[in-house]
Amino acid sequence: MSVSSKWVIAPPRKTLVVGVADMVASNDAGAELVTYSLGSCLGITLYDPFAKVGGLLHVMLPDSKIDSAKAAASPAMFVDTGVPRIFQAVCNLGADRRRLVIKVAGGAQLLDPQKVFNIGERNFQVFTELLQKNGYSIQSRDVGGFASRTLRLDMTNGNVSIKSPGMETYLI
Amino acid sequence: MTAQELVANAKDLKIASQAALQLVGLLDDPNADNDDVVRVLRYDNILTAKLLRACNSSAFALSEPVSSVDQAILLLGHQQILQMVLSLEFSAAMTVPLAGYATEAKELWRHSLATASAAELLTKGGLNFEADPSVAFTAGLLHDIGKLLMNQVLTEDMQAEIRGRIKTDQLSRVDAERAVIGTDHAEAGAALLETYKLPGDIVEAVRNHHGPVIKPRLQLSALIHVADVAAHLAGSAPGWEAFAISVDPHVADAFQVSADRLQSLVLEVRESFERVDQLMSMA
Repeated sequence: MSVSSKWVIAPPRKTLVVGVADMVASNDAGAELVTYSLGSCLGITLYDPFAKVGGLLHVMLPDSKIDSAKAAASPAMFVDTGVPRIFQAVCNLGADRRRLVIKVAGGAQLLDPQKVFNIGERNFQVFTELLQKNGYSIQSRDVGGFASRTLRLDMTNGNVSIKSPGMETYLI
Repeated sequence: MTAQELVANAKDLKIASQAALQLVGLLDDPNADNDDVVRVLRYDNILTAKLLRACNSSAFALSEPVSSVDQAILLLGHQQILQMVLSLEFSAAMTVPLAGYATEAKELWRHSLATASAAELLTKGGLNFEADPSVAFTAGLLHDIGKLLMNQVLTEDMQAEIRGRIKTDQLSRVDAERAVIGTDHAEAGAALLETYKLPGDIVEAVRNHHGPVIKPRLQLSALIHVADVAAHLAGSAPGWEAFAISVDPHVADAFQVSADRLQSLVLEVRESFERVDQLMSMA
């Protein structure tokens, strides 16, 4: 006998918050991974739609060479050390590298004609170079501009939504 | 509308207690010492109680409990105490949501703290600029205080117009504010602090933090400009179109900031900001 949908109560959704220089990998299809206030930082999501395994990484700086001690202590601070780790983490939970859907948001840019302060741009550049070198491509991205962003990865279906202050939420 | 009109028409704007404003005033006095700080605090019981509670929080891990302002200054130093008092005082006024900028309650305050700790760091970072660390910290703390005033007049239509100017003309947020309203949050903040008769270099820094004065010689505004940018890059960028900030083309040279140095600076700002943030959440 089927039950009217009106009587089905969904269990509370688990929200896993990813801080700056932090990452979370999960195989909980009922969870949502969220990271707040991505400015020049990048929020990188990986999702295997078949295994329903995904991960979210929030990196702040492009290059770990500036501080190797810091990179060892918190690899998710840097693009070049954080990205390999989030790939490893989702694969450890049963994701298949060949099925991974890769999305990225953030990398906001200041008005800086000299481009000394363009950390957002360099974060994205280092990330794309790293992916290319390893034969991956980005499925969708929402990078650059002046807005800071909150990013959510819905582990049920891999949807990635973006919300900026004073703006409506949209999917990428 | 001028900045002065904005200040004159401000409603219910309680920025800080008399004691806190007097302490900022002491920053300008080369002869001020610990006794002066104690004297100001003595008349503000609530502030003293808050200060002692913060000193006794686990963040400082002091071996014995602190029970007086004199003792607190002796153990933690006069600069640390001054920064704590100012942070405690201004947090109440600046922990408010600003509809005009689409910021949530804690965001303006967190950004102010991040900029303050960045400014203090910059005075110690071997850059070719001499500034008193407490003055730099205070200027960082107050640099965006004009947003409290602007928020009172920014209607939704004005916000939409400002955002439009940013998008179509690639204006900075502060230039777009000036184009639409006739003044901006930096000018408004400076005008407000002038009415409190705060030290001139702090007022200068607040007024010019988006248009830093570099020649004939570097002013505090240049330091706060870099601190503000570093705070944005370290993950503290509140409100809509938060990155629509024009970086002064000469400021990197003036402070000898290279791409690598910038990354290290952002890293340091992040760490010191997290420490301060933790400290304040305990207070």
